[in-house]
Amino acid sequence: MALCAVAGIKKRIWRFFLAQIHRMCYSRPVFHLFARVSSMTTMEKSGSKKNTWLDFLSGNRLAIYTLIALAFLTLIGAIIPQRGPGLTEHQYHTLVESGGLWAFANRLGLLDIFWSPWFIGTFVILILNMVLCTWIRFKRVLKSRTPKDLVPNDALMNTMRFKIPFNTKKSVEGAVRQLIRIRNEKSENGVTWLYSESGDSRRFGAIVTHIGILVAAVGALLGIVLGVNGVMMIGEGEAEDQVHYSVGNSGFSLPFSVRCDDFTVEYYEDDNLPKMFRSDLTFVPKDGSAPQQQTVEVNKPGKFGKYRFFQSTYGTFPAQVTIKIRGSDDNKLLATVKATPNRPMKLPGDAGMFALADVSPNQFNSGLAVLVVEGLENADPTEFWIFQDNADFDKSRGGRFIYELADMNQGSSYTGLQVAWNPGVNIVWLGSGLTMLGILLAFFVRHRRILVRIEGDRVMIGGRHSLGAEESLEFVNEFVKKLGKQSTDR
Amino acid sequence: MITFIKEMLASLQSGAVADAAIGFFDLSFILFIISTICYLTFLLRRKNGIWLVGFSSLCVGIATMTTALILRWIAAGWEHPPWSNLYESLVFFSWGLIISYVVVELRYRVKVVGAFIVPIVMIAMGIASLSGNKDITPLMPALQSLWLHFHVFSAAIGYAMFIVAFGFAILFLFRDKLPMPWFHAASAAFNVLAIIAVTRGQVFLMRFPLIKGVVQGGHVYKSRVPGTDPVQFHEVEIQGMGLFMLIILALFVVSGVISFLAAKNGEGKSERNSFFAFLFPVILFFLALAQLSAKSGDLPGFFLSLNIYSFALLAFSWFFSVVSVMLHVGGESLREHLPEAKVLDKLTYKSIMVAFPILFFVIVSGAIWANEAWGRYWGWDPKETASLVTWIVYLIYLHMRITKGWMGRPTAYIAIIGFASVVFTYLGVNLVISGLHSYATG
Repeated sequence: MALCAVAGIKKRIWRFFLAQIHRMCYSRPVFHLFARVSSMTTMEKSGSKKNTWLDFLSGNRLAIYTLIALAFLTLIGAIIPQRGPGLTEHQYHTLVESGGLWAFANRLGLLDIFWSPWFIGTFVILILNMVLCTWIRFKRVLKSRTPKDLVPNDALMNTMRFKIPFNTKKSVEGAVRQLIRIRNEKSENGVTWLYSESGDSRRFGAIVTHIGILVAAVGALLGIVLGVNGVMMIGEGEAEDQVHYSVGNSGFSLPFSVRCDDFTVEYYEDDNLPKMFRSDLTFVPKDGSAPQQQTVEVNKPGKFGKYRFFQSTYGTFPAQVTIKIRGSDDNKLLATVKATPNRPMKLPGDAGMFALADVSPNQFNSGLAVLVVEGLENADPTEFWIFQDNADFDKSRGGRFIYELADMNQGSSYTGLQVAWNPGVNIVWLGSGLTMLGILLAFFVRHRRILVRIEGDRVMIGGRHSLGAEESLEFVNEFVKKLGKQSTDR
Repeated sequence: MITFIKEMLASLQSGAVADAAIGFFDLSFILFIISTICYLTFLLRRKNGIWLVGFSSLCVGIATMTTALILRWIAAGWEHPPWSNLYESLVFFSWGLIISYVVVELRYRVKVVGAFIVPIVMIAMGIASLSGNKDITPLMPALQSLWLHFHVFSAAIGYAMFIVAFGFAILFLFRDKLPMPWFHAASAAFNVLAIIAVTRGQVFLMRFPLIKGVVQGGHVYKSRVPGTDPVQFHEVEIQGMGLFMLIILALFVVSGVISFLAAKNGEGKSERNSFFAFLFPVILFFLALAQLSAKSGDLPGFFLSLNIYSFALLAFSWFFSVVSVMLHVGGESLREHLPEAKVLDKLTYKSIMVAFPILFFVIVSGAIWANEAWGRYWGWDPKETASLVTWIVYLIYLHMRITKGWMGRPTAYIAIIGFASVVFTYLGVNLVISGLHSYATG
């Protein structure tokens, strides 16, 4: 009972809401600026109220309004840098935390407009409109008659856009049959009707286009929901199975590991411009089956399992320094730390922090050295050099810890791969193909009809061309001219 | 014979061939300037002689330009077609636009529309000659794909047909007796925006952004969008022109208001007032531009040193001003010379009908290519997004055209907005917003 009441209220709210939109679209002067002829005509035609709603929701006007809104939203997305394609995660967070206008824009969803409720809402309305419109058109096309069902008569003649009546002593019928393929004919009471039609597949143009866009949208949705897309950085000679999403911090692991055997950059001979980036990869499945080698280049992706691998970037990992830390009192090894320069590390026993502020290959002519900055609890930070060739050097400093530079490996180069699996991509291509087909059908197939009425000497030729009045006129005139040449004397 | 030609070509240094190509480009540029003058004069005096000079220099221009493109292709060792950086893309686009225009003119015999197309070709060639790098650059890895050929070629043709549609749309509005003050108001508004944008709001200071590296002593200005890479603008300050320019700006604003009011009221006398209110600042503006190049001092020519998008803005404001003046002067006799409004509307529609599927193909081929190169078919890159905006704008056009009451003028406005959108997609995105297509900035 309560549920019923809730449903009733909901329905009422919904109706009120719809009525407001309806009023806005039909009676606000703002919209009349565009709509010179009031759309009341469509309302009157369809009688009952229910139908009017369907007319509006499936109509051209709603399509145009939503398209205008969509164009504006998309334009914003082209101008304001967007999270992901225009702004990296770091840039995005800096901007948003900087407050002011950027934070406000973010609140409105302008920095991620294609995932904002504005964009998605508008798009959903457009899809709804398209589905309804296509369904109605489809029903109409199913109902409409094929040339065989048409009865050639005066009523049909009246639907022709342009008509030429003339008298002739010549025999026209044979010539007409030679010139056009007759799809339907009738002969009664001394009147002969000949009907020809070509290009009626044009009627499917709009339907196929719309279905194509819907199919592509389904494919896109499938890709968004099921597909994965991320990056992995693999050092030369190393193997990796973790993929990081480009937005957010999470990722996933692959059911196999990818080893980068070699990464190569080739340059053009005379310029110093890169010609080719290539990664030699080995895919090693975790279930123990045979590994597989592949080469990935820009524009030449590799594929293993369902995932595709794209050469996207490359770079060098930062250098890594191995530091041994001993206690100064008993010279006992407390920790072996692998540190990257400029990144603070914890000292053993929560005694404080230290960082490597500088790396020098030949400091004071004494070989490889690093500059250590030590920050003990309750003490001012101190900085000092330690040397690889002189392990005992730091003992003389007399600090709480003794640092020893044990090893340093230069940063190795890595390859940056884009990893993608998109189950919807072929559906998107199918949809695009259908859309293209539909556009071509609607634009370039010309739906042409010719109806010839012959009654003794009196001939009437009517024609209709899908492009419009001028083309109909041209089409019929052309036909009559050809007919004059073809006709033979009786 | 063929082997002989091959040997001969091989013996020529590729540098010499490239230089010859640039020579041919310059020659065609001059021919297009002549043709522009002829077509604009043809708006005023419809003498067949004038048209013939314009049309024939256009045809010779096509020949020299085709030669130039082929030479450039040869100079690149047939490795990549001559459309792989901004310079080449602009030149190729001009070529496509001219070819499309000549085909349309021969087919539909509307000579007047050339006044709207040929100046745009001239502007495009002008931007091309300003774009820094005219050398044949080797293809970077992302561009090494078969899709490059189809993608760029069809883009040039598609954009060209949209611009032809724009020409027809303007003529339609003129033939449909849209009050002339609307044209003046629109041009005045564009001029105001262009002046403000080129000086980046500091009209009085007269600071103009320049191509990188032209001026050593110029100011360096960085973009202020936090979190993005700073973009450097090199600019020059021209002394003693600020007040003059400010007055011109004010006059354009006044002219815009007068034209707007006149357009609301209609009728003869106010139309003339709006014309003179518009003509006066236009003349002053041209004088100011001439003065600017005279005062630019040690620059190797003011307009030749301007940054590309400033040049494009100034060139388009020149184009819109000249065309609105010419249309007004052409007046009733020009109107009667034109085909009926209905025919012009149909021609706009037909041009868009050709361009629309081509644009769709450009977008889809780009998506297929992106899927091969980057692992995603759509990434909301600014260029992709802008092309989607253009596509949606023309979708609106197509839907409006079959809606009762929205045919005619509203659709013509959309065709004009579509033109702006095409220019934004083609140039604006490359020059102002950086993205994955930024390799095309030359």
